Amino acid sequence: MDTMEMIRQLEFGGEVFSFDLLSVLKIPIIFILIGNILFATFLYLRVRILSDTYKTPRNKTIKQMMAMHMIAVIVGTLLSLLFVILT
Amino acid sequence: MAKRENPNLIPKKFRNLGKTFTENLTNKENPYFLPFPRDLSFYGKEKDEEVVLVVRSHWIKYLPFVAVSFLILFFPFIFAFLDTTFSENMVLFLAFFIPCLTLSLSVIVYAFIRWFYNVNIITDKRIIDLDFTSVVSHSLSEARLEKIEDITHKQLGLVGSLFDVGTVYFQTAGATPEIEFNSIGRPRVIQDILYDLLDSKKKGEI
Repeated sequence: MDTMEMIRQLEFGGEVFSFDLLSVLKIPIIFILIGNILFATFLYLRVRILSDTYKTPRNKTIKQMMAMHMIAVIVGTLLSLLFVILT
Repeated sequence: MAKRENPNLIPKKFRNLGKTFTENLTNKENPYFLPFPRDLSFYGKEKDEEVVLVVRSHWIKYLPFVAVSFLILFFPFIFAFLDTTFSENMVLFLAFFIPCLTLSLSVIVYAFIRWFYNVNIITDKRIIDLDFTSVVSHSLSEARLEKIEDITHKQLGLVGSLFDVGTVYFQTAGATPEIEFNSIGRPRVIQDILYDLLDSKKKGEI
């Protein structure tokens, strides 16, 4: 019996306390995913402002990097939501 | 990137000052320490204003972000080790791994952006401290060279001693709050550069 199995079948005063770990973890995962999208959006907006304050030729690369990050986060979030719903 | 060791790349007005700061500047070019950058500018830069130095914080300041990022990335593997259902069910594992991957990526990107936009600029007219404090805030402080009254640098703790990292404080006249160049490498070099610049400014050489 592994550790998680033992946690799942905790016994309190003769009654077996069991819960589904996955359903408990689903809600925080969805919140984290939404939070991550918001974070990526705020970061993108901040970079847009800062690139106007501090002007360097690398700003273009940074903006491209931020756009790629944004796409990666959105695709990752959609995939995660799909897997979370499937499980 | 062009090397600045070539004395011809030092702007004309700094070449014959006879100060130690030009030697300090030209010998140490790296991404944290950019002397006389030709292609850099900032909002409100005057036409005749010359950027002397751009300093960024030391990489050690961002090491906790890298550590957190790796910890988040390994989190699903720790779960898989503790619970066999995670390792047996691929869809379940991916449902945890992909959010952790995107979160880990966000932490790394955030650390990089913080490093890139946390810049301290020294020009022949003023000092500028751009602080990227969080995704929802940033601050920009500046002080004219003639307003600087005192320069102090402090190196604290084991990290400061190991990596030669410290903070330079600029006391300015008037109601302007104190400007800080946080967690920069070789803070004494910045202090020397500023003292020489202030001296040249007072003598009207620049």
